[in-house]
Amino acid sequence: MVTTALSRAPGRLALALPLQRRGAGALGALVVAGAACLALGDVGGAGVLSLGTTLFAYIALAQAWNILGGFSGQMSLGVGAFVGTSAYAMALTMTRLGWSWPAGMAAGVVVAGTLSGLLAFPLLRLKGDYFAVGTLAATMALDAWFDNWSFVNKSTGVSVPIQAVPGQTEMYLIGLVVALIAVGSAIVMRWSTFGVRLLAIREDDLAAPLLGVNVFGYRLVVMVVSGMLIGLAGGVFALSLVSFVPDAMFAMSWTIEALVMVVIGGMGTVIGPIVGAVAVYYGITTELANFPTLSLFFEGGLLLVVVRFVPGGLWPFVVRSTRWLLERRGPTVRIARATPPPSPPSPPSS
Amino acid sequence: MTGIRQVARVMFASSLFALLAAGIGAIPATSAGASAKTITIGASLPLTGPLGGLGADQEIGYKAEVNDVNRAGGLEIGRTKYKINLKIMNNASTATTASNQARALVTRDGAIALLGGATPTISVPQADVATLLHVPFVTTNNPDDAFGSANPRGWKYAWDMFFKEQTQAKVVAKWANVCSSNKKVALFTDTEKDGIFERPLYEAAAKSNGDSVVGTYTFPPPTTTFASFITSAKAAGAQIVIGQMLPTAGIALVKQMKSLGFHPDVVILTKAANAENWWKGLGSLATGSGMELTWSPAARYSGTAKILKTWGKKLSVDTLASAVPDFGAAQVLFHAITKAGTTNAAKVNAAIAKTNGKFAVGHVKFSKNHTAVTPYRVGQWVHGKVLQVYPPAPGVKTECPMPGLK
Repeated sequence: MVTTALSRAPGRLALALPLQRRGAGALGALVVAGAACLALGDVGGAGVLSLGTTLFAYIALAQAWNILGGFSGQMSLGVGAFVGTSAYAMALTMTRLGWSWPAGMAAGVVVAGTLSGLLAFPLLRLKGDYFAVGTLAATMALDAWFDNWSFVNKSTGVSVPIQAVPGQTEMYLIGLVVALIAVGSAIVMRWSTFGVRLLAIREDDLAAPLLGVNVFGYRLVVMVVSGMLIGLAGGVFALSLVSFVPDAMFAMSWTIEALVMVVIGGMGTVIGPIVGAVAVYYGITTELANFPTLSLFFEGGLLLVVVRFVPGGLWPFVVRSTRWLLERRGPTVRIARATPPPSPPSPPSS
Repeated sequence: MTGIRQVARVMFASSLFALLAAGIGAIPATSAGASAKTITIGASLPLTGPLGGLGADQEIGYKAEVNDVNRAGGLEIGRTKYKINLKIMNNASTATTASNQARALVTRDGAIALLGGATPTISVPQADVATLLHVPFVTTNNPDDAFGSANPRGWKYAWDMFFKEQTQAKVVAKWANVCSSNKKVALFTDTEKDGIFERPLYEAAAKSNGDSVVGTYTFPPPTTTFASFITSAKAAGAQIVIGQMLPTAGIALVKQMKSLGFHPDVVILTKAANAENWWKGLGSLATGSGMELTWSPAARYSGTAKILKTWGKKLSVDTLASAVPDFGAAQVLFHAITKAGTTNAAKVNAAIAKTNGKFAVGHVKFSKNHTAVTPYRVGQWVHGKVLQVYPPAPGVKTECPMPGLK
């Protein structure tokens, strides 16, 4: 299957049949989940709308990190760079050029994607820990630059015009759409020829070129897509926060949140980052909102527990456990799985 | 053995998901701001982090006023008395958390109004949320112009009551000249909104007093290493140090001044010296340092005697100086709710706009940019206590040169 997929023309998002079926199923499930969230927004009150908006933005953020870190194996510590540039681009185009929020958000995505593409050239020459340190250094440099750049009001920060910020229901919908785009992108990447090649690069970036995979090209595309998705999430955060300063938007905490969510939920899976975002943001951050130190303690504790006892993350563990339980429960299931498919009638012996 | 492990893992995962499900079930579908005879007021404060000292004093002030009102039977709204449920959250001195918490207090906890955190970095994002959600927001600890200018289109639901930056600069510069020195000033200001506003004002005020500014040093708020600045100020012969920064930065600056042998006659680091942890952090090194006072026992405002009687024995003057403005902010908000006779946000907001009376911090009347000017004084740390030295309180004299650094 992998060989079949790899034999296709590079860059083409053609789906091999089994992949196509699984991807289509996942996209169908995504549509159903999106509709359910839409319905929840209709019946939920202001609390649900507010919580949902931020949760969706975190799902997009985690999924964007997962696409780069989980699918292509590039561990980035530079999420803040793209959140920050996107938020600033959005605020500046809205205040200085009078753009509407959709245009501002589009500008943010373009700027974050462009930055990502530009950073890719020096950073993708680095491997492993060096790549991670490089992304961190780039974020810190941007933070320092924005802190001292008059054009962006230095450390005083910028604001999105309040009158242009959509209402709570609209914000919920924007957050939902952004999350759906991020998860949809992850599904397409995971179950496509492109995704299979990415996995090949992640597993062995020395062997992948021998199969005809352009390692730099694929990583460049993934980095740009990830940067753009982070930019989308950054736009939602910018609209929610309204006014912000460089230290908040280029903070290391964006990376930590995304990384913790992905590792806890299940790195390299599509559902994992969603599970992680819900567990961390809703299960810990929101529930312990009044105890920020305790919240960090629990986040760290959960991370340690997951890494030690459930190293693949919660979602793969749940899938494995469910399968194991089903197999133990019914002999029918086991027999059904164990029974070999009917073999064609053997030719008569001569 | 493997089976037992697997079962344990399944139980662990099931427990986790059960906890999450229980939590999700606990989300209120809709929030009710006022249940039977109770209204909720929200406040997201910097109880930990660099502004932790200021936040702790704010909590004291807000809680004191709420307790006073509840002890008296509650807040009168219409003809009914309502108990106040003050919901305080800790934003750990982080602007994004402060913003998120302000939103949660309104949308999730049903707060009908918000009280603010300290400094524009924390308060302005909260004011933005209040404006978006159309919820009255009263705050203090934000110099007026820095707060007023933070929203170029003008605030609608956010109100701030504090001193004006020009007054602060003039009073500080005048006090700095009470001691005889070579009139050479070094300015240390961070790049927070109020620091940026204040630096040129300090410079102008110093020059108008005949002082020469021999060094101006600006730095991002989290900075705590000042060796190069101190060396430069020392080389320039500065004997007056005026600054505005976070408490953590101020404490680090004074310690480094001592270790680098820089002994100016006068040191006043506004905002930094306001918190109780100033003395805890510096000990006797802080003796003689200046501190801004937004309230003083020497003030003769409405409730001063009561404040001293209630808290005088429990709380120090420096804590009261920080806590009383917050006490006053809560007074103003509750007064407006009673005047409005309803919890309707627009009506309460209109009542706040009409505020014109005496409160614990002095006379409060809001201007068009939604700020009310409160008085400004200078105090001096002497043996762990703060005494008002400018304008001079009866029987108190400024100690100089600053004993702590000698």
